[in-house]
Order: sequence, then C-alpha cells, then structure tokens
Amino acid sequence: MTPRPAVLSCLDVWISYFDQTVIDGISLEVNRGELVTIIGQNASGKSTLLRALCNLKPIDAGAVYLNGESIDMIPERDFARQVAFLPQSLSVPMGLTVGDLVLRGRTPHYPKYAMRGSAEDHAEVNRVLDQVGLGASSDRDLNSLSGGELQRVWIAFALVRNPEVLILDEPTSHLDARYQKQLMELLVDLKKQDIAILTVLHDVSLAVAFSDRLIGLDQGAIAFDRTVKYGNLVEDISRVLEIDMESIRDSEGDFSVSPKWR
Amino acid sequence: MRSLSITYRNLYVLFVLLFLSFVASLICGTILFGPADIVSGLIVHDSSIEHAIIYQIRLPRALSAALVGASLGIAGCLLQVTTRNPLADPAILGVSALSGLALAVTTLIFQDAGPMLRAIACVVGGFIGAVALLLISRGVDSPLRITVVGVAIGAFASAGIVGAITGSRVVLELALGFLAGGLYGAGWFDASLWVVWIPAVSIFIIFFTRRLDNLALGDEVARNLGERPEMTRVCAILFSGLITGAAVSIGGLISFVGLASPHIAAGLIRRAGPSFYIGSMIIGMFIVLCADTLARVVISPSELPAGILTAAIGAPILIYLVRREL
Repeated sequence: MTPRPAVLSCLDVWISYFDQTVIDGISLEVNRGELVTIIGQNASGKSTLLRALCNLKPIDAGAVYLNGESIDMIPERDFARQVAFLPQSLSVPMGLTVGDLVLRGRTPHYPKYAMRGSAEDHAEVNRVLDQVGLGASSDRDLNSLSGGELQRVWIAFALVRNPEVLILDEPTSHLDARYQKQLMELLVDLKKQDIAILTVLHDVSLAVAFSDRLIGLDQGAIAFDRTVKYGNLVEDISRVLEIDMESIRDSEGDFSVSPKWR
Repeated sequence: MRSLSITYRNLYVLFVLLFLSFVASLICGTILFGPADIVSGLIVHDSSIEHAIIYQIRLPRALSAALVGASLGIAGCLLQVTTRNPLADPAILGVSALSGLALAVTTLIFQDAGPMLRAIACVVGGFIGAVALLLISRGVDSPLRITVVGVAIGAFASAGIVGAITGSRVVLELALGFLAGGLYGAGWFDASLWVVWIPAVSIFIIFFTRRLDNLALGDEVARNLGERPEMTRVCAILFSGLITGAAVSIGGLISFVGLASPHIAAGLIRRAGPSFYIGSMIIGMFIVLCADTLARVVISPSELPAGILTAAIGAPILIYLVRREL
C-alpha cells in the first residue's frame, strides 16, 4: 500500500502575541480517514493552533498546507469548501430551523452572488441530516433541540459542504456522557468516509478511546505525537497534563485512561 | 417547512395592514374624506379641496412617513445583526442624534438652508455617525463595547444639538420639530427620496442578505464559510447610517421604530433571509404611518409629534422584549 499524502499539514508554525510565544515551531500532519486529537492544558495553544490550521489566525512564521498547497495561495471559498471548522462556543441565532442552519453550511458551494441554495443544496442538507441521525428534524426550531442534537446539527452544518478536513474545537464540552459517546461514534463513522478529523478534547478518556493519534501540546510546542497504543501512553499524557493518570486494561487488550482523581 | 408557509402568510397580512394604514392616513385628518373623495382627489388634478389636501398634503406625507418607517426598520435590522446586540438601533447607537447634530450645525452656519441642503446634511451626519461608531469601537466585535460607544456618541451629539439651539433662534425653531420627531410639513420633496431609496435598498438586500445571515453565526464561522464578515459589517453599518440620515431628514428623531421593528419581524416572520428585512421594513412603515395618522387626529385640528406616539407605543414593547429575551 502506498502511503497516502497528508491532507492537512503544517511546518514550523510560529505565532506570538506581543513578546509571548503562543505556538512554538509546530509541525504536524493529518491524514485522510484519521481522527487526530490534540490534548494539552489550558492556554497551551490548542485553540490557536486549530485556528492557524484553518486560516482564521495569521501565523508569524512557517506554513500550513492543504493537499500540499500553501493555504495562503488558496482562495477563501475554495478553502472553505475543503476545510470545515467549528469553534467551541457557537452562537445560535434565534428563530432558525435545523434545515435553515445546515443550509447555510452550503454557502461555500453557492455561486458568489447567490442569495440562497439550489435544489441540489437542499438535497445535500437532507442527506447530511440523515447521516447525523436527524433526518426528520429539518423543520424543528433550533431552540427546541437538546444539547446533543444541537451539536449534531452543527456537525451537519460542517459536513454539508463535503469537506476533506473537519476541525472541531472541543465538540463534546457541553454534552453529557451518553451524547459524548454518540458524538464520538459519529466522528468515527465520518473518518471511515475518508474525512480527516482534527479535534481538541479536554476529556482524556474520550480522546484515548476514539482517536487514532494523540498530539500532546505543552506551552505551544508538541510534547508528543503518537498513535494510541498502550505502551507509555499514560506517562506521556501525565507529563503533558501534569496530573497523574491511571489506566484500566481488560483481558482483550482494550484499555481506558483517565485522571487519577484521588 | 413551518417557517416558510407561515412566513409568507404573515408577510401577506403585513402587506394588507400596511395598505390599510396607508389608506387610513389619506382618509383621516382635520377633514375626513370618503373613499370616493380619495380616488378623485388622487386622480383629478383640479383646484378642488380634495385634490389640494389629498394630493398635495396627505399623499406625500404618507409616503414620507412610510419612508421614515422603512428606513428605521431596515437600519434597526442591520445594526442588530451586525453588532449581535438585540437592543441596537439607530437611536441607541447615536447615529440618529449625530444626523440631527449635522442638521443643527448646518442650520447654524447657513441660516437659510433649503430642504436639499438639510437633507444632505442629515444623510452625511448619519454616515459620520456610522463611521464614528466603527472607528471608535474598533471593528465592533464586542456588542457591549459598541453599545457603550454608541451611547457616548449619542450623548455627545445631543449635547451638541442643545449647544446649537442656545446659539441660534433659527435652530431652536427647527429643533423643536425634529427633536420630538414628526412628519409635520413633509411634502413631495421628502417623498421623492423613494426614487433613490428603493433601488439602493433593493440592491443592498439582494447582495448582503446571505452575508448578513452568515455573519449572525459568528465571525469565525462566517469566515470559515468563505465570507468576509468584517467587510459585510462595515458595509451594513455605513449603509444603516445613510438610511438613518434619510429618515432623520424627513421625520427627525423618531425613536423605538428601529428597535422594535426587527423584533416584531423576527416574531412574526423569521430572523433570517430577505423576508426578515422586508418584514421589518413593512412593520416600520406601518408603525410610523399609524403614529402619524394618530398624531394628526387625536388633538385635531392641532397635531402631536409622531415621535411621541412611536415612543409611547415602543416603550412598552421594549420593556416586554427585555423581559422576555434578556
């Protein structure tokens, strides 16, 4: 099997605010069909890095590449078609239906001066809503949804443009355990469709359970970039998060990792 | 979709209400006319009293009132969407007051300023108000900051207006009218502004509705959709300054219409798409037309400033909205 090229990568990215370095020479790759999770302490630069990768934050040095092409060279709308980003806190305008919101995610495919979506765009909305398990909810008011449903609507919003890369900043932060699991399983489904997924997660046990690869960020630099194999995983995570971790491993080799709370 | 069928039905109802309020403003006044008088007054151009009153006074006045309401209705939408502040409107953000200040200063300098010069002064003043809002609040990404900046601009402009009043009797007479807000004396010159207004607003809505809808999702999300939210915001705020200026030049400082219309439109129609802006525009027209008609009728043959009535109607709506939404 020939190695597949990274769809999204960056090389020696460096970002500073005033005289403080926030991102300190980071290089990484995300491949198609891969779910990569960044973990790190608060203010370790996770969100800044995500924004740099989707061209929302200017970088002071280095470069970000989409399919090998520097993202500075890619027109905004072309980039928007290929890379979908959801920030952690999303503002939901009042009085919109699920279908209204998801349709707006098609904007990058509209002709430049189009006001609204075509029949094809509407068909895509229905397809994606089916995919996230909200096929019958197109006409529902966004304010009537549960937290878990709303988060899946936003995922649908990001997916409806058929992106190659999905970048999510703490997609599970407001969800209870059941919805967290549901959402992560959805992401695993999506990566199987050859989408590259890059997330930031605070919940280490979720990150370990569902990711293909973990990237530990410490003060703006990469502390580790590794597959999720048992090995010295616990030690790596403990070091980056500065909290002792414990792991449970069952007879079949499955394991889970969580902070040692006491 | 729930929204679309109800949206179109409610829009249709609003159009009917608008038409009725327009006809009522032709019928009502010191002299009451019947429908037959209205038709003959509009069509038959003779020296009859019907023609004189209906065609020369009431029709242009109704058209002017509608223009004021439509402008404030749209300006309110634009400011609320771009600042993500449900309490934004041209009056609260100081744009109207700066437009009024420009008028006062112009009158102070050119004591015999004609209607054209005054109209230009108001529109330029509204534009300057919008520019000041953008510059002082540096990009307007914080709803709180823009509100504080807007209130400050409004206070500054109001102080300036009072200063101009104490400086000149001519300004005093003028200011008595426009501070309270009202359509007294609005004529064909004011109504003719529709000729410019309709194409300008149509083009703006066609071009910017989608961009404004996406901007409402947050700047980062909008940029990730390939839009340029900063550019959209600057254009929308500047445009709201221009049409606010147009409204001030005709009706003075009419409050609450810009604030209330978008909320009523959101409740009756939806807070997205062209129907939001069109709905808010119609509601604004309806409110100002009703207020102006009432203003002429309640203490007939004298008249109240319409701005007092929009405030009297608008203040309870504002209180209701604050209690419900915030």
